[in-house]
Amino acid sequence: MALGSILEKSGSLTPDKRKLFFAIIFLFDAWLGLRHGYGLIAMLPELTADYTRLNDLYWMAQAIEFIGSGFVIIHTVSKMVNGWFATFYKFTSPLLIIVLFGWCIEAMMLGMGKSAIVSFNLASHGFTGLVWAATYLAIAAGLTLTYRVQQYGNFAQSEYLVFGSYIALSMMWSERYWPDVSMAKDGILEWDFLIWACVAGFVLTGLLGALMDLVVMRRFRNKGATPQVMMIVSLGVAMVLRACLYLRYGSSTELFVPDKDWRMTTSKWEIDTVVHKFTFGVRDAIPFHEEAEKVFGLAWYKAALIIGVFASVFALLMLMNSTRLGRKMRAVADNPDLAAASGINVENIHFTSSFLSAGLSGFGGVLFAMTTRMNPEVGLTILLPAFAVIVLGTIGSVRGAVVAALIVGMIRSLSQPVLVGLGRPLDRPTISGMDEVMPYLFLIAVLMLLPKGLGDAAQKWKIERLRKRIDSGAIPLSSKLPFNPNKFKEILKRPFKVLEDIFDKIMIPVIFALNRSKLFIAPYRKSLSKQAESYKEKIPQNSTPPGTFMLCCLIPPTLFVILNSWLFAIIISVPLIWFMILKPNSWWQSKIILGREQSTGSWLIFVLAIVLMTALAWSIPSIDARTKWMGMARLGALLGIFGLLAMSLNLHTGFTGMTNFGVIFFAGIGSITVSLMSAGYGWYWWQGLLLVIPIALIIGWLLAYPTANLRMDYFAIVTISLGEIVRIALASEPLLRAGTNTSAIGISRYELPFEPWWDSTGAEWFGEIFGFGEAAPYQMLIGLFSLVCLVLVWVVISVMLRSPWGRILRAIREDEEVTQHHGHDVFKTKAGSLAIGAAIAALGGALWAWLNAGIFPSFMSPVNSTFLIWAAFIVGGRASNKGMVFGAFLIVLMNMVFTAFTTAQNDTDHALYFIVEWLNASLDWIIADLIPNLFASDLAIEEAFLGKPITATLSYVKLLLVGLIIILTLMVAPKGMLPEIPYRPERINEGKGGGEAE
Amino acid sequence: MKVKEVVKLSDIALKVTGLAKHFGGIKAVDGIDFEVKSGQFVGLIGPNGCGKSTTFNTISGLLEKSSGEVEVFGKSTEDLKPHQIHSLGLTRTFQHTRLWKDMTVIENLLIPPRNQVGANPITAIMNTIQPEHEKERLEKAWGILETLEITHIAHLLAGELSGGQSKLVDIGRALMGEPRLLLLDEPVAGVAGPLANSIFSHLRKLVDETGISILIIEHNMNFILRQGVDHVIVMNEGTILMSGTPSQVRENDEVVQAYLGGAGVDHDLPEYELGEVAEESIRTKREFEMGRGIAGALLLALSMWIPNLGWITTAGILTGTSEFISVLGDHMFVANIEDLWAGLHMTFLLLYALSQPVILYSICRSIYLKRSLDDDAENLILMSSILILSGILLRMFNDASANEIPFGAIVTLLAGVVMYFDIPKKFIGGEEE
Repeated sequence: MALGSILEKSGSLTPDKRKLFFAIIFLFDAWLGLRHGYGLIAMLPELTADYTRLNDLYWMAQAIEFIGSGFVIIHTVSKMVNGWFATFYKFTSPLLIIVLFGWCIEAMMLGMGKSAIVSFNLASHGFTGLVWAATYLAIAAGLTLTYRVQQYGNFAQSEYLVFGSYIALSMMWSERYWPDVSMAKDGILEWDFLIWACVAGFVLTGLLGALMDLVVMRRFRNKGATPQVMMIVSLGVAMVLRACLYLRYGSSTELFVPDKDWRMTTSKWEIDTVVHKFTFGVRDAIPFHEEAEKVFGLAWYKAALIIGVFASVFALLMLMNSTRLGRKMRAVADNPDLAAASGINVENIHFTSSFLSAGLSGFGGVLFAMTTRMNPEVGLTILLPAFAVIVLGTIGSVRGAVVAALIVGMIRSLSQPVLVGLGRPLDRPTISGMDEVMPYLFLIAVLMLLPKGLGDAAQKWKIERLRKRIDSGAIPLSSKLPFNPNKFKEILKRPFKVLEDIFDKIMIPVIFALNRSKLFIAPYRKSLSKQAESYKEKIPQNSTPPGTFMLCCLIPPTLFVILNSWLFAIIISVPLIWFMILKPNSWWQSKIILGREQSTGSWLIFVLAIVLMTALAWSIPSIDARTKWMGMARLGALLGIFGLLAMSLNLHTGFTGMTNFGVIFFAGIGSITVSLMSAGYGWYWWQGLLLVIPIALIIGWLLAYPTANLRMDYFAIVTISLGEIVRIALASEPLLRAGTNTSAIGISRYELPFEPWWDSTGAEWFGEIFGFGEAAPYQMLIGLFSLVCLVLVWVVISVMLRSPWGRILRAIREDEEVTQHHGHDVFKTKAGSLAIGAAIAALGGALWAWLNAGIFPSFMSPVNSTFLIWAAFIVGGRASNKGMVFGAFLIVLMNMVFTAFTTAQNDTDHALYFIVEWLNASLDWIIADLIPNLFASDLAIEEAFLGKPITATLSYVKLLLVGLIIILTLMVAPKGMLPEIPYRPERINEGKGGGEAE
Repeated sequence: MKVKEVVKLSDIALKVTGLAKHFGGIKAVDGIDFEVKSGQFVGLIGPNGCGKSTTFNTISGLLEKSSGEVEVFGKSTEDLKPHQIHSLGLTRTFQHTRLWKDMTVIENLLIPPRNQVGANPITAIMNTIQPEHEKERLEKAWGILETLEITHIAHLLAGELSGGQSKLVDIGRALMGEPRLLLLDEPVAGVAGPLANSIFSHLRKLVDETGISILIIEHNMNFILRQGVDHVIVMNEGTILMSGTPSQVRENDEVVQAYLGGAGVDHDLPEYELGEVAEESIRTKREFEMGRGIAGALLLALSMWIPNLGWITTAGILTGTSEFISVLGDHMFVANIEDLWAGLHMTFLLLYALSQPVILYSICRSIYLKRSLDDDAENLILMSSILILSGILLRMFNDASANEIPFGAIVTLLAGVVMYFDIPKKFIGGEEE
C-alpha cells in the first residue's frame, strides 16, 4: 500500500521532519476540505448532511485543522533553521501567521462561494490600536515594574487604574469643580482641572499602592513568600479594592468630562487617510485590493490618553535608566540582599516602586475615564490583556511592554475589520465581540514560538550579534566616527543629571516623610534589626501547628452552637483551657498527637469543622421546613460543585505545582457540553456526561503540549486566557446557543439528571420523608447527586494520589528538573494530572449546569468562579483534599449567609436584620462623614446611589470578605487550615535491618 | 580487585567525544574527550569554574550541548530528554543539593526507583491493591538510610535538614534508582570528615561489589589522589589538562601548577567596612523610632481632639498611646515597659471584649505581632484564652432570643481559634530541639 510505505518512510525521519511531513499533509487535506469539500473530515457522514448547525461545525473543524497544521509547520521550521536566518525567521513568523490566516479565509470563501470584504481604515484603525495600546500600557507598565522590583504579578494593578478614574470622577462631582465642569460649552478648553485631576490621580493612587505594599505585601515579603503566594495575595487585595469601589460607587457607568468642550464635535483633528479594501473569496471582477481616500477625525480626548500614557511611560523609562533612584531599583531587582549590603534601603525602594507603579496606573485611569464609561468591572477586562502584554514583552521589561502593548493594541483594532468582514458571509453578526479574545489567542500563539516572550528573544539576538562581532574582530562603530559618540551622549545627559538631582532633592524628603507614617506596621521595626532573622532561625520552618489546641478550642464553640448551652461549654472548657493553655508543656500533651499535620488530628478537626458549619447553616432562619431544606440542598449542591472544582485545582496547583487560573475553562467545557448536547441535539443527560469526561481528558492532555515548558506565571496567564476565550465565545458564537430561543445568549431547556423519575415518583417520596406535605423541590435531588459525586471522586482521587504517581506529582511540584533527572517523564506526568483534573472540573461544571438549569456567559466570569475556588483552595490548604472540602464548604456557607442577609435587607423583622442595618449605617458613616469633602460631595453620593439612601450591596460585601479571607488565611496559616499530611511510614522489619548493619 | 578490573573494564559506560558547550561568547566546555569504563571509579577535578559541572549538565541532558557526542553504555544520547538518558542507566546528583523539600526524607527516597508499579494515573490504583510493591520499596529505602547512618531523620521534612544531611539524602536518593553509572557532583561537600571518609569507602565498596561506574567531582584531594579512585581527569578552562591514574596526576607539574599548587595559598581577603553599614542602619532605626513616637503622640492628640467617633477614636487613642509609650520605653532603656503596657492593654481588652469583638481581635493581633517576635508565646496563649472567654461572656449577656444567632460570640471564638494556628509548636510540647 502506498500509505503503508509513506508511513514506513516517515518512521526513518527525525521527529521534527516527521512532524513537518504530517503537518504538510494535514494542511493540504484542510485546504482540499475548505476549497473543494473533499477533506478527511468531510467523510464523516453527519457533518456533510444538509443541516446548517452541522455545516458550521464542518468549516470550523476544517479551518482549525488548516490553521493548526500551518502553525505546526511554522513552529517546526523555526526549530530546524539556525544561524542568522533563525532570528530573522522568528521575527517574521508573525507575518507568516497573517498570511496563513489570509489564505485560510480565501480558501474558505471560495469553497462556500461567498465573499468577505475586509476594509482597513489606516488612521482609524491605527489610532484605535494606539488607544488600546495606551490603555493596556497604563496597567502593563506598573505591572511590569512590580514584576521587576518585587517579583510578583500584581492582580490589583487594574484596580489602581479604576481608582484613578474614580478620583477624577469624584473631583468632577465636588463642589469645588462642578460649577466649572457643568458650564456651557464655550469653545475654550479649560486645562486647570484636568491637570489637577491627573496630579491627584497619580499621587493618591500611588499612595494607595504604597499603602497596600506597606500593610499587606511587606509582611509576606519579610516572611520570604514565593512569587506565587504574592500573586494570590495581590488577588485578595484586588478583590478587596474592587469591592470597596463597588460599595462606594455602585455599578453604574460614568464618564469623566473635565470640561464640556472636550466632547464637542469640533474638538478633534482631521486626518487624511486611505481605506484599503480587500475582497476574499468570489470576486467577480472586483480586484483583490482597492483603495479609497477618506478623512478621519481624531478626538482630542483620545489623543490625550495616547500622549499622556506614552509620555508617562517614557518618563518611567528615563527614571529607570538614568537616575540614581532607577539604578537603585534595578539593583534591588537583581539582588535584594546584595543591594541591602551595599547601603540601599531596600524597603524604601519597594515603597517607591509600588508608589510609582500604582501612580502610573492611576494617572492612566484619569485619562482613560475620558474615553470610556467607567465602572469597577472595567478594570478586570483590561487587566488580563495587560498581563498578556507583559508576558509578550518579557516579564520585567518596560521597553518590552511598550512594544508588546503596541502590538496587542494593533492586533485588537485590526482584527475588528476582519471579524466584521467575516461575520456577514459566515452568518455571524455578533462575531465582532470576539476582538476581545484576539490578544489572548495571539499571546498563546507567540508563547508557543518564543516561550520566554519578545524581550528575551531580542536580548538573545543582541548577545548573539555582539558575539559574532567580537569573533570576527570587527572594530566598534564608534572608532570610525569623526567624534566620540560617548562624549556626545554625556553632553546629552547633562540636563538629566540636573533633573536627577532635583528629583532626588524633592523625592528623598517625601519618601522619608512617608516612611514616618508607617507606624501601624509593627513588624517593620523589627525588620530593621536582626531580631526578625533570629526569630526565623529559632522556630523550625515546618513546625507542626498545634492541633491539640485547635481541638480544645473547637470543642466549646461546637457544643455551644449545638446544645445552645453556655453553661455546659464553660464547664468543659475551663479545665481544658487551664490544662492546655496555661500549662503548655504538661505531660499528657506529649502523649496525644493530634496536630493538623497528623492524620487523626486532621480528620477530627475536619469532622468538627463540618459539623460546626452545618450547624451554623442550619441555624440560619427560614420560613418553613421546605425552604430550609431547599436552602440546605442548594448548599449541598454547591458544596459538591465547588468541592470538585477545588479538588481539580488542588490536583493541578497543590499537587503538581502548575498555577492554574483556568478551572472555569474546564468547568465551562463540562457545562457547555452536557447542556448543549441535550438542548441542541436531544441527547440524554448521561450520554452528555459520558461524552464530556473523555473530551475533558483529551483537552487536558493536549493542553500540556503548549504549556508544559512554560514557567509558573505564564501558565497562569494562559489558563486564565483560555477561560476568558470560552466565556466570550459563549456570548458571541451562535453554535453555543440552544434552548427556548436560539437568538438569545446562553443555553437552556436541557434534560436534568433523573428528572422524569423525580417528577413521577421521587419528589413526592422525598416530600413525604421530610414531612413537607407536598412535593420536594428538584434541588434536593441535585444536592444529593452532587454530594455523592464529590465523595466518589474524593475516594478515587485519594486512592490514586496515594500511589507512586501521586508522589511523582508532588516531586514535580517541588523540583521539576530533579524529578526528570531521576527518570520520570515530567511531560507525561503533568499531562496526566492536567487531564484528570480537567475531567474532575468538567464533572463539576456539568453539575453546575444542572443546578442552574440554564447557562449564561456570566457564570464563567472569574469573579464568580475561579477566584472563589482559589479562596477555597487557599483556606483549605495545598495538596489536601480534606482541606478542599473544608474550604469549599466555607465559601458556599458564606454564600448562603449572604443570601440570608439579602432577604433580611427588605425585612425588618428578620433575625439578621440588625447586621444588615449595621452594615448600611457603617457604609453611610464612612461615605458621608469619614471621606474628605472634596471626594464626598452631595453630588458624588447622589450619582453613585441614584438619590436613594446609602445601602451596602451585599454581593460586594461578600467579594470584600472573600478577598479578606484570602489575605488573612495566607497571613495566619500559610499552609491552609488543614495542611498536607507528610507521609511517615513506620519501619516494619527493624530487627532484620539492624542485624545487617552489624 | 585487579582481577575483577580486567574482567569488568571490557565495556564502556560513558564515552564523551568532542563535547562542547558555549554560553553566548563563553566557551564553558571546549571539545573534551574522555571515557569511563564499566566498573571504574573516576574522579573529575579542576579549579572552580573550569567546566566540570557544565560537563555533567550536558551529559545528563539538563543543558543542550553545542557540539560533540555522548554515549551511555554504547547508546547515543542525541535528542534524548533527561529521563530517557536516566533510563539508559545514568543517575546524577546536583552540586547544590536539590531535595524535594516539602516531602519527608523517606518519601524522597521512594520516588526514584525504576519501573514502579503505579507510576501513571492508570495503574495508580494498583498501589492500593498490591501493597507488597510499596513494602519492597520501603525496605530498600530503610536499608539505604541505614548504610548512610541517617535512619533517625527519615521522618523529617527534607527542607528541615542541615546541609550535610541533605547531601547524604541526595546520595541515598541517587542509589535508590539503581544506577549503572553514577555522576556525583561534590557529594560530600559540607559533610563531617569521618562520615565523608566512610561514604567514600562505601562508594568504593559499591563499585567493587556491584560493578557500577562512578564519575565524581570532588575537591577532597586526599581522597581523589591517595585513596579511592581508579582514574583521574583534570580539567582546566574548559579543556582536559590530563588524565591518568592518581599517581600520574600527582607527579604532573602542569596539574600541580594549575590546580593543586594554588590550593594551599592564603589569599588576602579585602577588609569590608562593616562599620559604615551598621552605623547607617542604627541611625535609620533611631530616626524611624523617633518618627514613630512622634506620630503616636500626634495620633493620640488627634483622636482626643476630633469629636468622639465611638470605637474608631478609642482605637486611635489605644494605638497612639501604645506606640508612644513603647518608643519612649525603648529610648529610656526601660526593658519591661512594653510588658507593663501589654498588661494595661489586657485590662482594656477585657473591658472591651464586652462591646466590640472585631476591634478587640485587631488589637490582640497587633500586640501579638509585636510580642511573638520576642519569643513570647505566653501572651498569645493568654490573649487567645481571653478571646474565647470573652466570646462565651458575650453569649451569656446577649442570649436574648432563641432565634438570634450569636454572631459576635462566634466571631470572637473563631478569632481565638485562628490565633492558635500561629503558636509555634515548640511552645506547647511536641518535639523540642
